[in-house]
Amino acid sequence: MKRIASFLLLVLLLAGVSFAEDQNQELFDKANEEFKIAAEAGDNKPEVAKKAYLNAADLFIQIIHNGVKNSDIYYNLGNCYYQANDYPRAVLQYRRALVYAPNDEKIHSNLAAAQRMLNLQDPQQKEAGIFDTIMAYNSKIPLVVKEYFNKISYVLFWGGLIGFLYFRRKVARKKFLLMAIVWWLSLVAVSGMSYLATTSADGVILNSEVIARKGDGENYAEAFLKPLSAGTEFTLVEARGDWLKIKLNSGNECWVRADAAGLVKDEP
Amino acid sequence: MSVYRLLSIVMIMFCGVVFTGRAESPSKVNALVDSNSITADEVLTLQLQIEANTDKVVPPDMSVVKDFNSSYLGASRSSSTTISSVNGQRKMVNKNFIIMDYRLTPLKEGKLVIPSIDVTVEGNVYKTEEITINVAKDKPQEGISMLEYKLPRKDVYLGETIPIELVWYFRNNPQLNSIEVPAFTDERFVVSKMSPPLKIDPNNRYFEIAFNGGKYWALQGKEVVNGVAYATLTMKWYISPKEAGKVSLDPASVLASYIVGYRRNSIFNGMPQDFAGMFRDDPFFSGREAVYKQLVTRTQPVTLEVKPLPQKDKPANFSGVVSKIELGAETKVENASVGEPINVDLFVSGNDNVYNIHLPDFNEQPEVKGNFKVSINPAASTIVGNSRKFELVFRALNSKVTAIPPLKIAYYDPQSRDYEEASSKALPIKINAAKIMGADDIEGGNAAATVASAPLQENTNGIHENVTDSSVLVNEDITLGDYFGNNKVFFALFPGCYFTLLLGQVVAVKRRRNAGGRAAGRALKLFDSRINSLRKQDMNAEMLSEAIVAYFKVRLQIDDREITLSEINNLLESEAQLGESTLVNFKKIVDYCEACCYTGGSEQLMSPVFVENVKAVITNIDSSLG
Repeated sequence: MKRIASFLLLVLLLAGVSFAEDQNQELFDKANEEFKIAAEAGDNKPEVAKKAYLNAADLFIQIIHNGVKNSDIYYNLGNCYYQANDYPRAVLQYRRALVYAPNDEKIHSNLAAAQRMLNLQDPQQKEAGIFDTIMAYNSKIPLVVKEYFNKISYVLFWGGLIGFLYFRRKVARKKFLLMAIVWWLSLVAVSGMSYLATTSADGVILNSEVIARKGDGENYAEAFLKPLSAGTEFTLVEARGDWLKIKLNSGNECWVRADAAGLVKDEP
Repeated sequence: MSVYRLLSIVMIMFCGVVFTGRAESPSKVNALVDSNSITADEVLTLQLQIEANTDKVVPPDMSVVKDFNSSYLGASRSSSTTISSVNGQRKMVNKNFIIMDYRLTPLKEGKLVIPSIDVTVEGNVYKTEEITINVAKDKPQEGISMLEYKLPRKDVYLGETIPIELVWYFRNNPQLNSIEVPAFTDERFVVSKMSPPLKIDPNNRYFEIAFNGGKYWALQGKEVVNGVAYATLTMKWYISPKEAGKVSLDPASVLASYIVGYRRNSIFNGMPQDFAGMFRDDPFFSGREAVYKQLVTRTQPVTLEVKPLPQKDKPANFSGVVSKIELGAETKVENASVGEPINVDLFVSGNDNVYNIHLPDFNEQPEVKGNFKVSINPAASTIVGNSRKFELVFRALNSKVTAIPPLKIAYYDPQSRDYEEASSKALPIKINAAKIMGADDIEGGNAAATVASAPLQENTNGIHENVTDSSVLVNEDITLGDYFGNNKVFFALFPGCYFTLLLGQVVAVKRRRNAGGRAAGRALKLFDSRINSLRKQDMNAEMLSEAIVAYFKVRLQIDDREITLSEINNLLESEAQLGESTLVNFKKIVDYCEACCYTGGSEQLMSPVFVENVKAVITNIDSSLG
């Protein structure tokens, strides 16, 4: 009875996975269709085009909410916002795409285009640390290759361990220890992108004319003489309630309302 | 019971088995025809009755019926219920039928055979009975219907498009049931069907006919043949032979219902067959009812003499058009830059046979080559009046051109029997040089000739294209939890194997180390079984002594050295956990056995009571030793 129940559960799970995949494919096809409609409407019907681009963006967001996250989908989402003239959101999506593919030239190119359209004084380029550099190389290896590598090293590790158990040879012990290290490193490679995505402290101001304050409340004085423009990029210092403490490229720190900005680590 | 009575019972049971077998017999298929003898101009209705309780009936392959043209009329369901009463027991048998009707038109006279037809029901194939039909020569129809192919001539050139007309002459206002024109699906011709006709004359009347899965327009008319006035329906289309030689057109046929007489309606003729007939044929107020008969009218076979085109003087740019045509071209564009699309409409007109026109590749035309790139949108071809309009897109390859050159199509004129060329007029146009031109902007053109020799500059504005392949749907956001969760069987398998092996090894080592202890645990069982087996023999004191010694050697894990009962007794006395009474009882046993052995009574048989006492003492010692 238990076996039958387990089998049925497995079938239901597999059916669920398949359904989700079909749904995502359908959403993706619709998004591409909307993008095409928008492209065909072009400059002749700007309102139609903008609506279709935003429809495509909504469809890409639904796919992301269904659990699909990668550089390509954020890149496409950024393109939708760019074409709909929502450049701050385009910048945010390109930043999200860069987490998964830090060295992708197309994403960098489109990000630069969006930043130019914002016409900000200081388009920021972050300097990459050692970890970022390692992860940049890591991002070039397809996930499926990393998974295979991880599984093979895992099998070899346990093979070595079982060999050691039975033969008690020093060579076997060294091998399985080596494989254990390789396995753990490849585990980092597999999940590293997710770690970066969830720990990224980058963000973008999405609303226009956001007043930055010196503290986490409206009663604090304005931090600067001018409000922050939409598209201004920042690094998150602290989150406190509905307020974010951010650090701008110039080095200045200030507080802004959380709903006026988007964080790279958040879902769209 | 008499023999006869027994036989009767057996027979009744046998009949019951046979009857039951018939009741559950597999599906039956019957083929029925409405008549076994017809004339060549009549049709036959074939009905397949398939007894089946399922819908899984595969329509039969009627191509096996070679002597008739068959057309499917439709299917229906019916059922019958039979109630029988045997010895007071009522039995109800339901039968369901699928009925398929086909109309068969004889292709010749004589004894024709409808062969056995295979019908597949739920995967089982059933065969109908073969049916023979006598087809007599058709009776003269007294000129009530004629069918005729009309062609302008019967010698044509390969690839030439000629009109063909099918004219049906009829009288007596028949009801048209169906038309069959095999030429429409003849693969030896390119067939261009007209729907609707190119020229619609408001003075004419057209009749829409549905057949071969399409709708066709037939021109209605009147004609006098041999002094008899006929109404006519004329279908016109165009064919173009694809092979040379003698090519015959298969006869076309028309099936129509004609009034052959009238009968008087009255209540004595019986009730009408259908519900509507109750109102149409009033049985009380007598009236006339037309009696129809279905008749088939066929054309005579027509043979075309298809001649190959002459090779002499055949132009290099001959595109295969075998018909006199004229060309016209129009454009609304007066100014364009190099590489910009210039839409040009090309009109091809001829003897209303423009359906079969295929344009040549104008890019190979000397005036076009090097100056323009031409692309044709075949889907955008439309019929305009007596012409066929093609939409062409020109792109100038340089700014030196001043006009779209005349477009030329070489054709073979069957009238003059010579190759000729149709040409459109040149269309003046001003072409400007492009300021910045990328290689992608010119399709197949020599960009370097037009564009300044400066290196291509990348435009940094704008964004790159979307990603549209399936990589967009691959989730790369894999946390360790997700990763292990998605592969939990894989990751659990190896530690599972490892710990199973480890556990096995630990157990094996433990068992190896405690081998003596396990043997000691089994000592009492061995003793009991040994005593039981000795009981079956004549057990004496010596045998009992040996059994006791053997028990203690195993129980106390004494190695292979020889030991006596007295020595065992001494060993037991040193065991603190043994009670005094147990030791005393054991001492008694030892003394008794030794007394028997050493006083020459070793052959003395042991009494069952004594043996039971020995077993009780040994069991007591075994449990005390722990």
